[in-house]
Amino acid sequence: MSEKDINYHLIKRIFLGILTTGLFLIVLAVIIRLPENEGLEEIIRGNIDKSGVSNKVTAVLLNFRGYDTLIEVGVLLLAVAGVLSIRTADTEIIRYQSVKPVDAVLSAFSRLIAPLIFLVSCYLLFAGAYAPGGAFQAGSVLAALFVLLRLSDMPPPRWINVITAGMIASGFLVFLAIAGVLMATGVNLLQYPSEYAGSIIFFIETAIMASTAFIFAELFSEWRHNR
Amino acid sequence: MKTTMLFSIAGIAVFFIGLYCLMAYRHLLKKIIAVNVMGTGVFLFIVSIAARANILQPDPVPHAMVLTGIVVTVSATAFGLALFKRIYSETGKPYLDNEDK
Repeated sequence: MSEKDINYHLIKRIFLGILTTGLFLIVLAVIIRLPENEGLEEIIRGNIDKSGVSNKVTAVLLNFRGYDTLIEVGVLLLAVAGVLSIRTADTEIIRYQSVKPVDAVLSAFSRLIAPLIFLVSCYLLFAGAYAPGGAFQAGSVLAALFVLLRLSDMPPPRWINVITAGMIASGFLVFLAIAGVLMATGVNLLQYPSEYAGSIIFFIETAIMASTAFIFAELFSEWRHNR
Repeated sequence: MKTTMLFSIAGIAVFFIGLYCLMAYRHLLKKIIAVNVMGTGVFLFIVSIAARANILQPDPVPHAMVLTGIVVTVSATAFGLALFKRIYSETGKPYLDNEDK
């Protein structure tokens, strides 16, 4: 790198430093003057009985603003479609291949811990109704299990290639089907009848958990057989 | 000064540190990490805004937004990494060289 290049990079960084510091100070001046606002907490506390769950964040996520979550699951589906179309055989330098010799401690330990991780993710799914937790947290834990199994050289089961595509799409399809059926009965999009709301939310969350787990595992390290 | 205001300022600071790194470095992995840092700053800011009126009864709507945002950030990062891997395998360079000719 010549002296001219070094000077150019130094000037560029000083300029960017001044620019970002200036923007930071402007935003700071704005947020210090933000007015106090009660927000929507009281409205949600008043309507929590109709939502079918007692955790406020889950109620917002799957009932009051269910359409946000519907679109979010759609975004996940788009991301996985994008990744699968960009990923070709030669970009995958570290595709699934058995590493020899197999690490005995690692594989024994991951066999031991796998049912526990599955239990934790099921607990998170159930806990979402009344405490912090829910479908996405449970799905992320389950995806971590898939990544762990792949890294510890566990051979993937025969049926995993068959169910992967279906499981990836299941969350969005189940959610969309429920939204469609509800609209056909003459209510607004995702307006659950309050006596069945708890069961509907739990059903959607189970589908989203399975779907999230397979999507995240597919995005970061797919645990499948070579084609 | 309230604690929540401190968290708001910290969130904005983290956002601008990420913005600086996004613009200052050419390496695409650094850019992906910078975008993640920016997102984390925004999440910290939104969560601190939610607790502004009453720290014991925070507004759950921003919390749900942040939860949505985290999931979308993870999938966007994965998409960015897939793009990075494709660019690296096509050009052999970890940056885009259509500038600084």
